[in-house]
Amino acid sequence: MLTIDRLTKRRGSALILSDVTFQARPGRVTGFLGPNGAGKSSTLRILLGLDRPTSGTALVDGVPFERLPDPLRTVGAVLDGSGAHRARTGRAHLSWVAAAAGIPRRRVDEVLAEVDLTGAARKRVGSYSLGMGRRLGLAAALLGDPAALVLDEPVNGLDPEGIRWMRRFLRERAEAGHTVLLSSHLMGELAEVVDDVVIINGGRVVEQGTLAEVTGAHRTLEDAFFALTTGARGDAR
Amino acid sequence: MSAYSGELRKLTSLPSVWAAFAIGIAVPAVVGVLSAVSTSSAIANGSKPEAGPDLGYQELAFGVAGAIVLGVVAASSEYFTEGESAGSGRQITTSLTAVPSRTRFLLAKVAALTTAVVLMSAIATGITLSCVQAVVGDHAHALDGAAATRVPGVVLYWVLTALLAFGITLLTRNGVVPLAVLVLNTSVVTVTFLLSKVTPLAVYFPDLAGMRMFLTEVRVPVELSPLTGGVVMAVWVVLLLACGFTAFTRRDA
Amino acid sequence: MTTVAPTRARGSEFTRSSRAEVLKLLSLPATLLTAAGSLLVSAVLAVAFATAGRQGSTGTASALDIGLAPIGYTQAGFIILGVLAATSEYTGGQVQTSLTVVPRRVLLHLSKVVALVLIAVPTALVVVLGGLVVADLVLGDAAVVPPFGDFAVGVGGAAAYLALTAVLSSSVATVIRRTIPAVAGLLVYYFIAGPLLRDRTAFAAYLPDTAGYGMWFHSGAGRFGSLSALVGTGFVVAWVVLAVAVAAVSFRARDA
Repeated sequence: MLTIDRLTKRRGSALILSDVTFQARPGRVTGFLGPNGAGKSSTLRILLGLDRPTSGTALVDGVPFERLPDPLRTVGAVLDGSGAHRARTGRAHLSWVAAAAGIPRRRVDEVLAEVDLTGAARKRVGSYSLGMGRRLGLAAALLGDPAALVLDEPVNGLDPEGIRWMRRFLRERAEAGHTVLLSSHLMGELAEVVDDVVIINGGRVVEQGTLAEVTGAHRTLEDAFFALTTGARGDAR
Repeated sequence: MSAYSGELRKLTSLPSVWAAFAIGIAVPAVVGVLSAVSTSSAIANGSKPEAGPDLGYQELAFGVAGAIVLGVVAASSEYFTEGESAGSGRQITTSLTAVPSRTRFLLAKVAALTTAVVLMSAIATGITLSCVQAVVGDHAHALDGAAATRVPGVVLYWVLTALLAFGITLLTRNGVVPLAVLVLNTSVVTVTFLLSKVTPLAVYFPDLAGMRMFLTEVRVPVELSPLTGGVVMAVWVVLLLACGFTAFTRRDA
Repeated sequence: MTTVAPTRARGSEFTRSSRAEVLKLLSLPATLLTAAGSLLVSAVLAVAFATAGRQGSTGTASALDIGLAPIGYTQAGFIILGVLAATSEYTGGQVQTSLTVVPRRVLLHLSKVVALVLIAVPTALVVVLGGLVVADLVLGDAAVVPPFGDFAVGVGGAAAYLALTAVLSSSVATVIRRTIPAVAGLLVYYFIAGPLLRDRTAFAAYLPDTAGYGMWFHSGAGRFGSLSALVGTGFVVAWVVLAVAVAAVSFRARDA
């Protein structure tokens, strides 16, 4: 269970997040949706202890991320990019992550196979395509077989086949009882995957509920999204 | 012309460039004042008859570190991706789509870099020499008749050094190596000066040759005139820039 | 889904994190290139110093003094090593991965220091001994071989100075976060501002470069700064501790 409670973040005079509150529950895929710059990444970064909130809390199973006894086995995270230095090989990257978390080395080969990077494991990350980099990030997140996954724009950079694979993968994780929280600005790609929806715009949560509740009277989630986000900020898209 | 002003704008928007200006102006000025103070007390207590001819200019030879940083940053900022985690956000791709002719792109960069270094060295020279003159007074040679040729010598030395740094960085596509080589070689006892103890040919290294344009006391085995020194350094710079240009235009961005 | 052995992580968190940081440094090509470059520069300069020493222009043919003289320049390699160890985190968003695996930032920072020391000390020993061997070979019969005690103190002091310089540089780079500004600032300090201040001001004796002079430049200890080798070492260590602490506080307080 991921609990975001009254999160506010200021950078200088800019208000990045204002009173953001929502939860991501086990066994469900929670979609965190909003236009670029709405505050999705900032929220996820605070949840993962990368950025500090001005006020409010973000907890993993009731505990701040920094105090988790075994973070990599609790939450797997993929933020933008690969999260790997371009001069290292994919395998070397996963090896140090495994070493830091005390995870056996054989697990590195397992996750490489799982994201279909076995063939590129000895190549430098700098030579990877955008999609390969994303899959390497996912491999690192899966090393500890965590109970929760946090993914920032998971379908960015993936080809159509990769997007399909990702959707199936996320459903399987949720059905196995895991928590999945993903952010996206692409509605069409996500409507089929998510159970719960949180829509953020201009640093504020403008709507949340199950997929059916949020879609409501609108024809699709996409229509609902545009109605909510353009209405709240008043800028035409 | 628009490529030139674009490059100038790019340079001034880099924080490292302002740090380079700070180094280039502060180092010779502060050290120059310290030297001048100790020189004038030596003159006062009679241990020295007058200030050496290179007081002030010697310090400007060290301030060239600012020009080195500027030259390296002008080239390496195109390749470095730190700070942005997105996969391949290297500026070079944007730059080359904006100015498709690579040679024109480089010439604009060279022109912008030269402008910045002329400005920086002129400010540094003005401040350093007038501080030295103010502290030591009539005993100083900082602003005597020879200054008319020595001051342009300093400016030219800084410009050529910055271009040298720029050319090497184009070849290495990495700023760390040229920074290390060139800053080490601006140290109090330079590597090239050490090598001049091994072979007299070392006087033809660009820094030792170019310094002749404004320093009168360089203790190396072969004396070069200011003009010869400047020409030797310029030849180095042209050669290295040509190599850098060739590498840059032939290589995939 | 494959399953992971349900065992808890082995070893203490600090041990694991330090081991991971060593793996990180070793799998970075720049680490090996920097080490190899330092060794090469050390050897080339040892030839230059020894040639000059044979001609008597340095006034001494002590194999130890001449063999250690290149340290003045090869410290650049250790400055770069330290900077890269810190700034490589900010390439490709690696720091995000590091902090999601080891979220306790002070612990992560200290394990980075440990890993850097574990890499820098053996590298420094190789670089220092390399310079000494080359100097001895070039000097040949002219070499004055020092007693073993002096030799051990000289090598140990030089290697310790280089490793401490790497740690100091990595702390500065942790605050600056970007490679070129950190390398430029440190090199300008160590090679230009530092030596110039050394000759002109009294307080320079307490700065990390001049205070550390006595750790490796034995016959020159009196000439550069007023501190004895031991007191000088104390000042360098104090600077390093201060720098590590400032970097840890900054790393902890800022958004990654």
